[in-house]
Amino acid sequence: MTWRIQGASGAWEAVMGLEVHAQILTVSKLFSSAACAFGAEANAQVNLLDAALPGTLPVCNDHAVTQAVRTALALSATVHETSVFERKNYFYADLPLGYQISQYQQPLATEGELEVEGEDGTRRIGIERLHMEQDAGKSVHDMHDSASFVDLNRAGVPLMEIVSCPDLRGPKEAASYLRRLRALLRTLGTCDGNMNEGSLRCDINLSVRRVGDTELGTRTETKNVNSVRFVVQAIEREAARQVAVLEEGGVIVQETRLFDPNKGESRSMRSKEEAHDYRYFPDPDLLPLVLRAEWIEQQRASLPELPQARARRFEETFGLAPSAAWLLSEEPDNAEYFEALICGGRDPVRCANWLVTNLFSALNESGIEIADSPVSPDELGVLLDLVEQDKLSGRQAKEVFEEMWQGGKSATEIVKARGLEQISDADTLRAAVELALNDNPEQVEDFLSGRNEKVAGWFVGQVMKATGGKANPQLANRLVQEALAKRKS
Amino acid sequence: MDTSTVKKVASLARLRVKEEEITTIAQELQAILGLVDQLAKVKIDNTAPMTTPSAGKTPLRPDAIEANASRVQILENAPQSEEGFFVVPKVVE
Amino acid sequence: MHSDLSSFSATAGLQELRNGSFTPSEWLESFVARIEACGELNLYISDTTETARESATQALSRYQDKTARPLEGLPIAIKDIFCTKAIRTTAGSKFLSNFVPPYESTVTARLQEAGAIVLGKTNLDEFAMGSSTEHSAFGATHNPWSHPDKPLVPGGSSGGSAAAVAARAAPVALGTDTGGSVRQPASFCGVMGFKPTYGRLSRHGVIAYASSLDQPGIFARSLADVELLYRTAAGHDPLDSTSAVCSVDAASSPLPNLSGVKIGVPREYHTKDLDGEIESVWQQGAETLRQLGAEVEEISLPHTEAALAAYYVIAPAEASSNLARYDGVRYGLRAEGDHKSLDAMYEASRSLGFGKEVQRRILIGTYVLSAGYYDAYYNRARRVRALVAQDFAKAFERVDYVLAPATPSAAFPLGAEATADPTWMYQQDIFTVPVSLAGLPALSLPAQLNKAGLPLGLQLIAPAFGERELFAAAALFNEALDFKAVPPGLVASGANR
Repeated sequence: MTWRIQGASGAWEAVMGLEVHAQILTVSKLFSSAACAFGAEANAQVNLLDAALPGTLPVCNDHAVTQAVRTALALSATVHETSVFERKNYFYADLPLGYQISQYQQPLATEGELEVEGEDGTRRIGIERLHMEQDAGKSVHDMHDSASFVDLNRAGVPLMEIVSCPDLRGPKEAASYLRRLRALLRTLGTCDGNMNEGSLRCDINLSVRRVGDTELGTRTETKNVNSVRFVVQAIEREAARQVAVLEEGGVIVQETRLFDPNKGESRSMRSKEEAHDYRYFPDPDLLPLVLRAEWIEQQRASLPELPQARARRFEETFGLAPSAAWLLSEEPDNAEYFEALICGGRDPVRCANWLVTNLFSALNESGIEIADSPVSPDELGVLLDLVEQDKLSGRQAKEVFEEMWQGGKSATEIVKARGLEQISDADTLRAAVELALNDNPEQVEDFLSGRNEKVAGWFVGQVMKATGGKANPQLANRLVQEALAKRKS
Repeated sequence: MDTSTVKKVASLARLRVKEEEITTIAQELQAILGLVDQLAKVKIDNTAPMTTPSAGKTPLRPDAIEANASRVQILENAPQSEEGFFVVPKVVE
Repeated sequence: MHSDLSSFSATAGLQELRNGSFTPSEWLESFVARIEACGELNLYISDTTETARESATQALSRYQDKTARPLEGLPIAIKDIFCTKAIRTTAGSKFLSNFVPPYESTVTARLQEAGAIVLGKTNLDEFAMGSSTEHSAFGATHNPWSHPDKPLVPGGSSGGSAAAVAARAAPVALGTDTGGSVRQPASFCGVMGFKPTYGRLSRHGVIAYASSLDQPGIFARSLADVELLYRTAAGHDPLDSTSAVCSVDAASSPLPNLSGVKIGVPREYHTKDLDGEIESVWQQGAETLRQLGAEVEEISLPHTEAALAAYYVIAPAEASSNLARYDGVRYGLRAEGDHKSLDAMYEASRSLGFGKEVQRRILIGTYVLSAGYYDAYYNRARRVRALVAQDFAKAFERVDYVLAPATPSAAFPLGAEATADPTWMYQQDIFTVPVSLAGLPALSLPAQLNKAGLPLGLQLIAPAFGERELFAAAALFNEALDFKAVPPGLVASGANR
């Protein structure tokens, strides 16, 4: 269902594009050899160039280039053999050079796409461009009443700016775009996708227009929307705000807005409204970035299986439902866990269901990443095998899993310690059934006379009670039916 | 080059021009533009722009950490620093 | 007789050190004495006499141990735009008057690793922007050829280095050449000034003026010295992305004559401002080359005048961006006071720290890059730059070298510029700027004194990376020019050795 904003005067649609800044996974910065690790002491990861010492010069990091190229190729973008680093000139306390080295007129890659799942089903969203640039440092404003504190650890960290076309039409679609982009980056290993640490940041360009209009409205840019949930929130709020302004006869001011995650609202950044004139020009300290066509092709050929292809494979090869297939494909670690689990020939659908319903909720509740799961795929496999061999019921398996989660013990150990193992031995159960029938002649009579055929189920219950719930229910049922039939004849 | 342009450009360049000097500066800049206006007379056809005399491509360095300055060195020339940070007048936003 | 030792060239002096005729300390002291004697010329911003003395002592032990390196004990002067570790580096600016770099530039490191000893950091136009060394926060440098009552400029921006070599306050010196900042002061001071091909000498550690034009250069009184320093300092530097990858050629070998060599004389360099005496020195230079066996022919460099315009767009544009880092946050000057905002602090600090000429060029550079003017100025200038480079490329299809004056006039009086509009000074760069735009190697050689007794220089320009051939041809030319004059104050202490 196409997303609409219902105004007082009719229906509106939103037109959106996302600009994502993804930190390229490297050990050193884009143009200096300082470390990029998160969480260091202020200004402890700063080389002379990062502090813009006079006379220092940039030299480009080859791995950052490879990472960006692989990302662009995974987004089916055209990677240009020649791209140019330019200077974007502006003054800010955490921009030591007084310019940001970025790419402008000749970016690394253009014209890619990403398939999303949203309000209108599956759609391809265009990627306008992907380019490399340096991050700025960080200004801390709350350490002092009249001063700001500047930390340059982030200054020079390599970023990819990935700009979508204005193809997005709804919050679900935008959320899917961000989620799928993140999954792609993590699968490629080109960005850790950690939105809390700022490795992945998102700005939203949004305008609204009446349904049926073809002209684009004036857009605003909402910055600092750093989670999938906030993307949905920010879009809903901003679209509603714009519609309200327009319906009251107002005009949308082209402006930059800052999203406040605490309030779930954005506000205008008036200070940014001063006309910027970035005076881009090719950085004369760097020469054009030139990549060989064969090298680009090598990178393309060596791309790993991407999340969407993997989800498709899980659906087609293993018969998983689309939602489970995506959940297991989105994170490379999920897929790895799943494939390790099924590799012993276990039923993929059952395994998938188990992961999605039990393991993922346990991970969520305890806030643990799957890679750090206390229950390994091998250990979980043993548990699922017990279920498969009818040694445990589904309910028992869950209990055992919960104990496994606490750590230390294997499924077999827990089953043994708790005496949980299901009785699936026909002779043992047959004896229990005979005992139940002999102890309850009235109920047998009810069955034989045809007064109450449902009494068979009651006998199964008696058997379960007698075995402390350990009887295999299917087998007990069959044996009760057999024993009753025998008495009938 | 009028005085309002001088003000705008000075503000972009973060230079403070004194009110009483603006006219002189505007004249000086105008004289320089007079010199560079010869550019307009050149027949450039389809000549591709030249950014640098270097013909090659930008070299790439291996992705390795090599610290070339300590935290102390980074901060020692700073006019104002505190607790390992550079300190500037409060930025509002 | 220490002062006498200051007349030795680098090559000759090093030979004497090897022979044991005098010690590195003795040689050093001769320059220390000269620096003192030349105090009024204001050659150096900082001297490093104390550390130099220690180095000279160590140099002696190396000679004694027979572990002396190629430049062991050679005193050198360094333009104060090369970052020198633990030695204040100002770029001639108030903004950096207290800046002590924690690192060493590649070029100065290479020379010191070869045994050279730093005498001090020479004066310059602030951030290398100027042609007179008057635009220095540390006062103007005077040309050693000046009459005491009528001081002349040494040229610029590397005026301190050029004047120091002329005044024997250093045997050799480093400069930087962006639009002529080595060749023009060399010409004004009667010494040799060499600007290599762009990319030959690393820019790492050289405080930037205009990145696509800046190139370290060398001042000396002997061609052998120029080549010695060049070959020691040149070569690929992984810390400079624009550093040329091709290796530095073997030393030049002497030529018997210049037969078969073609020299081009550009028609467009006969400008209306060209001083008559220079015109005639230029003609005589061409005649000298002919006598050495070269063929001299007229060539055309049609975009010569436009080159000046392109330069005064491109250089300020790059400068406006290169100088944005001087914001008073991480180093350098911060204006006192209670700043209402970050921008107020920037404006106050930059306006206080930068001199007039620097501010002027930042304003022009900002303007030509700003929206609405970008295509008409910056982009058009880059296209003209390409045409200038093509002019030379076409010329070098026909000739091996280009012979041109280095400057349109001899050294001008101190203060002359202040009375003229800023473009008068810019016009002085007409013969040096095209070479810079094209990134070519060029050598400015002292040719003759004019009637007023001031030196006049000629430039020999070669194709890119043609340094080796340039040195070979220049050796014969220089010998034939036979420029022996020394500044008036040095006449008594004899000829250069």
